[in-house]
Amino acid sequence: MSENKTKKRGFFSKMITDNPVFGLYLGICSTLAISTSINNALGMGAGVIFVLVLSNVVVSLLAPITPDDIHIPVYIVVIATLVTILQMFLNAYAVDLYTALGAFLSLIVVNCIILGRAEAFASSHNVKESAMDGLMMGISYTLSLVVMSLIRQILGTGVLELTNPFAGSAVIFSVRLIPEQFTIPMFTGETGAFFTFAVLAALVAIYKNKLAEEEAAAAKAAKIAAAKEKAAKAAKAKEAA
Amino acid sequence: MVKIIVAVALAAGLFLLNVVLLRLNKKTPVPEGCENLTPDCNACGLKDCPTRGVYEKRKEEENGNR
Amino acid sequence: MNILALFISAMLINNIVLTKFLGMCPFMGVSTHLDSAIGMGAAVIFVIFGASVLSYFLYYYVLVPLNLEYMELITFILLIAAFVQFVELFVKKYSPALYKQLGIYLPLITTNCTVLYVAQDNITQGYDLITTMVNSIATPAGFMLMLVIFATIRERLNQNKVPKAFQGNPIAFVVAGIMAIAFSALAGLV
Repeated sequence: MSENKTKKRGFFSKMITDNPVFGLYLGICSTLAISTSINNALGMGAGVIFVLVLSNVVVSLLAPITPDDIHIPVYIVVIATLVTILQMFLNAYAVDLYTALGAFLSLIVVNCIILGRAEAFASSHNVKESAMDGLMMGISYTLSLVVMSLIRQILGTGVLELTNPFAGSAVIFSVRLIPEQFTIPMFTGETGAFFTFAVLAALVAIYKNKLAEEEAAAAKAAKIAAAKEKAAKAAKAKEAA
Repeated sequence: MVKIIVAVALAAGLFLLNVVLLRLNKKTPVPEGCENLTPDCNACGLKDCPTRGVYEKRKEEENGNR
Repeated sequence: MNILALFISAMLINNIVLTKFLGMCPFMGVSTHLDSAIGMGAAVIFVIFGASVLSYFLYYYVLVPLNLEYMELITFILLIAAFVQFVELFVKKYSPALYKQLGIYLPLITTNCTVLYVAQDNITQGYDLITTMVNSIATPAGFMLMLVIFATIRERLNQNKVPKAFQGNPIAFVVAGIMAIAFSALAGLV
């Protein structure tokens, strides 16, 4: 696919096809595990945005002085330091969120989105571009987490609830959307996570296929038009002769 | 203060160990007959992953042969 | 805890792929052939066992005496990366046959979240050396079991018609969901 064509499509459409979770299948482990409630999703998303933006900035700053063959250990040290800072911060100011995210907080270190962006983008772009890229990637990761956790939380518990992690989990708002006897508890469990993910990934695949078909059709139409023009020209040339 | 120096030294030591092993590993030649071995993996969408590149090339060749 | 009970619990009941959602990338990507599933699984067992035991010593004999527990994450991930490099180097040099079977999967393992997870889990659970060893064999064994089961399912899946949108990874998640239902029945085993 050419660069121009992907640029021509809207921002939103790009957010779907280049979505790190459902489009590129990166960072799946945490998406499946964390998306049990909207609170965890937002907390994890904010954490990933923090680490991703800063790691991209630091990596792009370090890129000129990093020898080519040792970039992976350098990225690992940078990312692990940032994640440790994040862990300490959450442990001090938002203990509930810290315990809810548990091991997945430290597993941000091996999250493919962050390592992948550091290697593919930040190492070859300037600081500003890298920070923007980190922010964009982080936002679309958070968006996927939020969509998935909305589905799972609403279908599984019937309640949409948001709490403030910095104030001892004080409830900000809480709405019951589905009566308790009609909820599907399976969605809060492992099976629900896998099924929800499969359906969302399939939807993204459908959208991608549609785009590819449209593109193929446009290319075909252009080819036919070009052939027709050629034939017309040839006919004209014949007439002239 | 001493604690911080020890902490930094520990991290730096492990980092250097990493770098040394990485360089040694790069220097060691791949055994004979294993030069073109790569795992079949196309799980993620990272287009510039070297493993994925080899996988797709092989897939294309297989399709071409059919 | 009884060691056998721990083994069964870590391998089957709290299976790392189905209940912790870790190691999804190789689960989807490498499990296309039975051979590669076995090779990847064996490499993961070996690396997790070695890395976990090394992390155990690093934590209790270096970090705790120096009061540097907060360095856990950085030192563990560096240790794991160094260990993987060392294993690859060693296998390349001394056992080409083993390299052919397992070595090619080693570069994929550094960033595999299961390794870091098991090393840290042993510490947070407060396991002693013996339980650490048992846990670090049982957990990746459960991972390998999943890879092998899934590879066999996928071989059958390739001969069936899957809706176009579900081809590739999405159908893998549907299968994983069904397997999670099946494995949840083992919960009463221990």
